[in-house]
Amino acid sequence: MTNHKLTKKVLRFIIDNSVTLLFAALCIVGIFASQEQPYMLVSLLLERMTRNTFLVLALLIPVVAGMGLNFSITIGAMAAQVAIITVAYLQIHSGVGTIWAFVISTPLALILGKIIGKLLNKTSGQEMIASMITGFFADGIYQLIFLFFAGTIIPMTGDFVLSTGVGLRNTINLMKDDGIGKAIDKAIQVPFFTCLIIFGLFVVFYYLGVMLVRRIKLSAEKEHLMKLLAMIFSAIDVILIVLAVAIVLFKKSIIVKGKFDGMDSILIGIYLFTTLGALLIGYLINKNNKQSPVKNILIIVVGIVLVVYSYQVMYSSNISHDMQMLKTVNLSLLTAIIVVLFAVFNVIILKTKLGQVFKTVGQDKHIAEVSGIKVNKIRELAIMLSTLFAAWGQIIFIQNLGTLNTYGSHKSIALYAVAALLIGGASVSKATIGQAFLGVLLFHTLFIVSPKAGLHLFGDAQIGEFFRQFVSYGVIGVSLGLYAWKTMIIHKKE
Amino acid sequence: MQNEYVLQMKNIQKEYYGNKVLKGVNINIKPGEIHAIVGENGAGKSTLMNILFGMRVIHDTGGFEGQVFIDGNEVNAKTSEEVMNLGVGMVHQEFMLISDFTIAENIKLNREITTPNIISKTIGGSSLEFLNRKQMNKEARAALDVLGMNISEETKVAILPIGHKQFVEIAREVDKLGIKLLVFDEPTAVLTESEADNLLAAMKNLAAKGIGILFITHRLDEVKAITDNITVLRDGEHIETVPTTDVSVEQIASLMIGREVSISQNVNMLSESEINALPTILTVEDLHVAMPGEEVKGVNLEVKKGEILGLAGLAGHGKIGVANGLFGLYKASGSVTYKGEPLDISDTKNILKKGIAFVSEDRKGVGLLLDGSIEENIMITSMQVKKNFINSFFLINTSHVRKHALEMIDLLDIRCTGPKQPTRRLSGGNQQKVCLARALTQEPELLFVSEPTRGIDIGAKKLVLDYLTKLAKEDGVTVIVTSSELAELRSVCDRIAIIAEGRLEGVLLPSAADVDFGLMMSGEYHKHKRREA
Repeated sequence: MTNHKLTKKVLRFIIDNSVTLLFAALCIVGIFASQEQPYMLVSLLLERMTRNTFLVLALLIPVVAGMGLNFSITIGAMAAQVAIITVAYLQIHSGVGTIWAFVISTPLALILGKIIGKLLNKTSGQEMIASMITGFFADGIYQLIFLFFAGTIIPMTGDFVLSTGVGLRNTINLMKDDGIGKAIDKAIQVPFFTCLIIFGLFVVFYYLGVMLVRRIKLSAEKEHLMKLLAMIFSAIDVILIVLAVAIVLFKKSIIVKGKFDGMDSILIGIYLFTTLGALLIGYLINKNNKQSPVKNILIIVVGIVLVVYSYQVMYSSNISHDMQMLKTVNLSLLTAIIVVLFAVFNVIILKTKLGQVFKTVGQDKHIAEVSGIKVNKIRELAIMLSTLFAAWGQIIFIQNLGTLNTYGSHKSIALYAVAALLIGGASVSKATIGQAFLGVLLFHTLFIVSPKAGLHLFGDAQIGEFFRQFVSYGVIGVSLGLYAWKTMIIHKKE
Repeated sequence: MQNEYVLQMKNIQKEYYGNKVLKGVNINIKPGEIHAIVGENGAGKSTLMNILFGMRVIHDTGGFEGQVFIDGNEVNAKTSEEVMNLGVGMVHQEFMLISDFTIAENIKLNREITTPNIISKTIGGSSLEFLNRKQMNKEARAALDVLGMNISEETKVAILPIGHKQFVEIAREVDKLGIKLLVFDEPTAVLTESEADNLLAAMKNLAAKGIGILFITHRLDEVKAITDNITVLRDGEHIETVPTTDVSVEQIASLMIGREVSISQNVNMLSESEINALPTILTVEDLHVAMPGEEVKGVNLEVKKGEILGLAGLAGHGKIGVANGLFGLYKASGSVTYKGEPLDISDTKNILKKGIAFVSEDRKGVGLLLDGSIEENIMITSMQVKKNFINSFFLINTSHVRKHALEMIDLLDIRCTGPKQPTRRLSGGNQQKVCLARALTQEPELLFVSEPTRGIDIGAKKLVLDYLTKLAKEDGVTVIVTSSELAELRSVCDRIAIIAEGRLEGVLLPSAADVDFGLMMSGEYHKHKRREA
């Protein structure tokens, strides 16, 4: 009986996560078939994760608000590119230039987002196709502006402009003359596996803490005291972060190649302790999330494995040359922090009144309207935020690439972001940050390994290229089909 | 100062495109009073509620005449939000609940309790404040307790039984501060008997706390059981407002139906013994049809050869589902015998082959190929099913089609520019005639006609009805007419079967008393007779 139930559960899991499991399997096959160097694989993947995840996360809010996958993030990307071109043309350098790019793109993205939102409200029920077509349409206007207006209506001269004097060049180098290329990425570079050790330890201690803390019962007074303590811890955290940023600005790097000096270690130690403390107290106060101990233990085991493996990579000499290479994989810490903070923002926003309103609108527009929510305003806001985040995401993306392909950089980002999110197991009506991260990981692993896998398996790297395109469109088609099929089955059951 | 009435509606009149749907209705409700509004479909109940809640349909069609007072103050609301802020709540017939949310989240929908945080304080505006789930749960609990509902407020609504969902709806209204008047629109329609009893008890409870209750329902025994006063509407007219204690259920029923001017009484109507003597052509046993909004939940019916049988009932009670189910247009189960042989009701083509035809109530959706010409529409079913109008080269015999179409246009007086006119451009009445012509082209022995006179003018109505009578009496075709217009059925049918809440309530002769029709349509007939006996 229980056995039968278990089989059913497993089957259910496989059906529910069919797309993700399929791609996980493809990735594993691809990795073996490509015989890629571990160093290449990890460093390329890390770079792609840090530069692409922000764009994928920009898709989440419209999904929650019931507007499906927002293909018009392309337009946010165009806003970002307008800002980047402006900054580059005015020769504002590195960090300051990047900040200006964010500043300039923000109002532009918000205005464009508002317009798209209004349009999508008019095409209610067809948001996805409407947003896609809007993206193509906007691309036309974008080209018009930079191919024909630049140099004529817009007074632009110099390197950027084609020799005819009209229209911008195809590529703009952002690395040259201390441009904004890699400005965020280069701010803090730390060895990736050192980060993994710290992260692993953190996970292990947090979950151990959770398992201990869940036995404690709090009186009302003590709860008050705990809240105070948590606030103090958080305050120390904030001070440390400010301090770290200050150090970065003056010294350019805080940790050099895995060697800490005493002060660094102490500061990191305090930071970890206070963060951990604040989180645990938070957990203690809202003890309603009842995780099973099995799951906690599993996470702790994974954490330990992570720590041990990363320690081996960093400090042991008894491992193969390939593995030792991994020591030199660097993480762009500032970019990673921005992405993680943005992910946290996405979680927090859903816990606010606004988030609840997004959810309500997403679940049922009619009920939302009847309960006094201005549905169209909320939908507009969802698209505005998504467009804005897409613009910021595109700046992160472009600064990592270091060159701007004036007429091409924005073109396929919506396609790739949507495909990645769907591979992570999201659907038109439900998407989480976990799915976003997992999706980016799987999608880009496949991107990295498929040319070499194609070469090794079929003797032609081009097949891998085809495969990538095929996969992007295919996964979107298949996911939408599966989604329609699932809703049909649910309707039938009712 | 306490006002005498929580709600007063004075001399309310409303026109839709020159068609008067409310002709001077007055409603007065005191605090703590339970007031029922009863009436047939189209009596004006929903229009009255739309006016009370300031719905857009009212303003978009030129507003209304008369005055509405809530708690003594005149109100001219443009949105339902305004009215709700004045302390008027609505318990909807269809649930306004989000199934993925918990009970507490639903009760506090868009009225969430929040706690400020650093960001919301700096930016200002409450929308970035965190939800205070603890407080939300606590207040939701209190509202549920008022109704005596002891299910956890953190349960997701999706897994609740329907009766509980209704209570969540009510709890939401109760939770609103300063609620003065609650409108219940057919709240018991979807409930089981015991659930309905719970609900009625809760309503009494609320009234005892001084909340006025407006109760719209068709279940007359419930009206009798809990209300203080009853207002009867018929065709937009305010017939009477009476204290509940002064009237019996029969009196309410006959007030609801009234005697309407009939088009023309069928003179050749058969008597009961004559009908019983006829052979049976169709027997339906335990028919269930999953037609959304018109669900059939077990109908047994015997149809005699050559009679005109009417199917009557209130909207949403399944009378429309019967013909659609028997024709395989919706998922249906049950055993059907046609001329002594079992009939597979999922196989539409086979049903058509056996000489059964159907004129759908959904003229534009199911009934017609709107862009097809009149002649195409007339011949298409016969061609598909019986291979008529096809010559020896398997091509359509156009001259034959044309000749037949012209005959039909003449016979049914279809007003058109010619047989090639697309049906989209015809008026509703003429479209209906084309549908009928197509059914007749199949030369059916058994004809189902649903809502034959919906949306067509009086002249066309008469012609269609007269033709149906002629078919039955002269050509021996058995006709089953489904209609929302009881008066019409009583003028043409030999017998009228009444469907209430998805089941056959009973079969009446057209000459039966108004009271019996009223009781049967409310599903009260048997309960009532039992009580009398």
